[in-house]
Amino acid sequence: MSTLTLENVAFAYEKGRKVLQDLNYSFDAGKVYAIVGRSGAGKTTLLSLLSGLTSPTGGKILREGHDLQAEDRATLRSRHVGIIFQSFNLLPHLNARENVELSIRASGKKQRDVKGRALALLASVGLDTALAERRVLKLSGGEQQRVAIARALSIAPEIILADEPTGNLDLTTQDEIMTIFKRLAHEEGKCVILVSHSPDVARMADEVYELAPLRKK
Amino acid sequence: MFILRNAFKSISRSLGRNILIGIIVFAIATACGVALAIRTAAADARTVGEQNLSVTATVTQNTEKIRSALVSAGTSGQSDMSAAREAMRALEEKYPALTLAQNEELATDENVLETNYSLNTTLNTGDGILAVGATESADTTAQAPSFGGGGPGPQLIGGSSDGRSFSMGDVTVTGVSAEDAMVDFLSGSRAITDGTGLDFASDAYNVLVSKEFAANNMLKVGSTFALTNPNKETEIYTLTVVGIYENTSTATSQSTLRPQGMTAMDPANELFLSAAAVQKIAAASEKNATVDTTASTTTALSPGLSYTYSFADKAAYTAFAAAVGAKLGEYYTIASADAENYERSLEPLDTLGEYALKFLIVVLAIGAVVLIVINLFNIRERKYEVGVLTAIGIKKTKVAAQFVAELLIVTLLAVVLGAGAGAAISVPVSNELLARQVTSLQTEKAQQEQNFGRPGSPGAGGGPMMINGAGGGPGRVVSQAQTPVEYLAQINAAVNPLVLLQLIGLGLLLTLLSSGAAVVFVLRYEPLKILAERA
Repeated sequence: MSTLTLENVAFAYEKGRKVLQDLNYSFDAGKVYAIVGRSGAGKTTLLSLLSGLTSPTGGKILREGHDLQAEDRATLRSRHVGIIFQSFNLLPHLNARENVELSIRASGKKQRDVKGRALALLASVGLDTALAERRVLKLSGGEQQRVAIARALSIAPEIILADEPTGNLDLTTQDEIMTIFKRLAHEEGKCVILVSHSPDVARMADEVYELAPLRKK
Repeated sequence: MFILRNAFKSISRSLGRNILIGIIVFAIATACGVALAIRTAAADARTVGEQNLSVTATVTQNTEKIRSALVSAGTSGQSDMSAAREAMRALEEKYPALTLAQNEELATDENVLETNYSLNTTLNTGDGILAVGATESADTTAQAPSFGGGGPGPQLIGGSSDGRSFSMGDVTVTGVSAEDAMVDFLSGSRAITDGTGLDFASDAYNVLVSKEFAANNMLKVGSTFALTNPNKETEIYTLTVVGIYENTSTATSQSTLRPQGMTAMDPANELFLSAAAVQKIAAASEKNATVDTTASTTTALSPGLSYTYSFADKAAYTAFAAAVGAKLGEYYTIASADAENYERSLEPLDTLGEYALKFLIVVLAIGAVVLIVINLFNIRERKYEVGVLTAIGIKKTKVAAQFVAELLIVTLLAVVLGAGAGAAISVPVSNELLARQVTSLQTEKAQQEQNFGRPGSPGAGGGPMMINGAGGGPGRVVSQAQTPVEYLAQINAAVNPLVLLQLIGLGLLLTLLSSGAAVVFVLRYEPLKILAERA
């Protein structure tokens, strides 16, 4: 059974503009997926549907065979799906460690040493203790991206969704980030779904889905 | 725990804003603390005061009711004065002043603590005796006005309902049943300076005379002198002086407002006997009376009765008043100068309590509006934070609870500090406000006195003298200065545990009210929309 299955998924905005139509994808654990397409193709919208931030206007999304619609969305995001936003969406008044700790506590999963786990997660994405104690606004884009990845991993999710994870990063950092994602999929068995318009990302993914913009009616 | 941890972190992060909220709540709490303390102290003062107030009261005819009955019957405004007087007399006969026996029956009520009474009449001086202020050639009986006759409209002043003669004597004779009935002696405005007090159980004609009266007639303790019935000069009573008293207060000194020739109204001409002795005089007078059946008059003396009931507290008085009202009906009334004075003494406090309540409402309303506005700004400012928290899977209710907790922590802290400040300033502030109320009320009363042409002193709240109708009896005239009201001018408006609880309750109410709007906003926010706007 696939980790995530899309059955004829469609999405249209309230004003009637269709963005996605008849999508039939399946995503399995242990693989890195790349969803590529031109701007406006609906990549970010698809990611929002998979994370439960919004609901499809047609079709079904199944997680482990169960309709996502029937699940509690907050629980889904706090326990099963780790999201890495394009603009990171870190809390600026907290430092890197506190951002990760907040996510761990919000998951409701019992953790003895929350601080230790947060530091370990940050170290696993290449951020040492000194960087971990810095306010996120004082970190570079790449470092913020790593904090966002650590935060997504902090809840030990089965699914990792990342929106343009290498968008503004230099090539070296891109490679490092992609290496992390591949490790998470191949070594830890996560289902990693990346949204990007970068051909490099597509090349490094195990499978690629391409979204084409729908014609305006 | 998660909510509280985040709340504390958030408070420390936005210290400036939270200090501002804290200062506002502190000011509200301090103001509310003072207002609540005043209200609580006012209520306590009333409760304790009523419990400790010894009330004395009298049961009399309800003259207001009788007058209004006459008015509604259309007799009051009649041009025929004699018809109006007859109607008044008929009503008085129908609802006569209570007798001693009737009063004693009422006194069996369980609420009555004890009773005393006095009997008043006037007598003429016998041979060789002169009332203070009288001259030897003066025929005071002839000069004395005849009360109850000729006046326009119905009036109870000295009015007779039983056709007795009205000639006013030279001196007032007061028979007292107990020391408690000798109010001036209790208050200290009169004091026995020579001889002894009265034996209340004896009906012997033993008398206390004033120092002036004794000096006027060269009387000493042990001297005897004669008084006569002003309606029948041959009716002579020989009295023995057992004590001489002195008027020590200006309140009982000779009044300049006393009508010419009415020496009996001079406090120096008030003679005190035991009530039993005055009853004996009345019985003898009745026995020797000359009755004119055609004119329906008699020469018999009929002393006016003043029967006083004492109560342990105001509650007992109130219960007795209700029982008397039910028993005697609307044409009788129970009156208590103590209770009335006490009520009047609380006027400034009641007014202050009302102001405190209005102030409390205004402060709370303004405080609520200010806090709601601050919270709305706060929530809009933290919209992005709400979006991120809900996007990473924190339930909206938890986020809202965190916002409420933040405000609650700041509010409760400020309320406690405000209660402390309120406790420190409530006593001086409330007493200062109360003092202003008292001054304002005294000025108002003094102005009213002046408006009526009376030189009333501030706080006295009344004229210098009143003539009180005895409802029957030959000219029972009692001079009675209206009792000055001593306004309650000090309260202990401390912030006690009750006030603290009320403050915390108000703090919670304000918090929930002001954060309610914030909660609504949080619940309506869509994380995707917020984050998209931000991106």
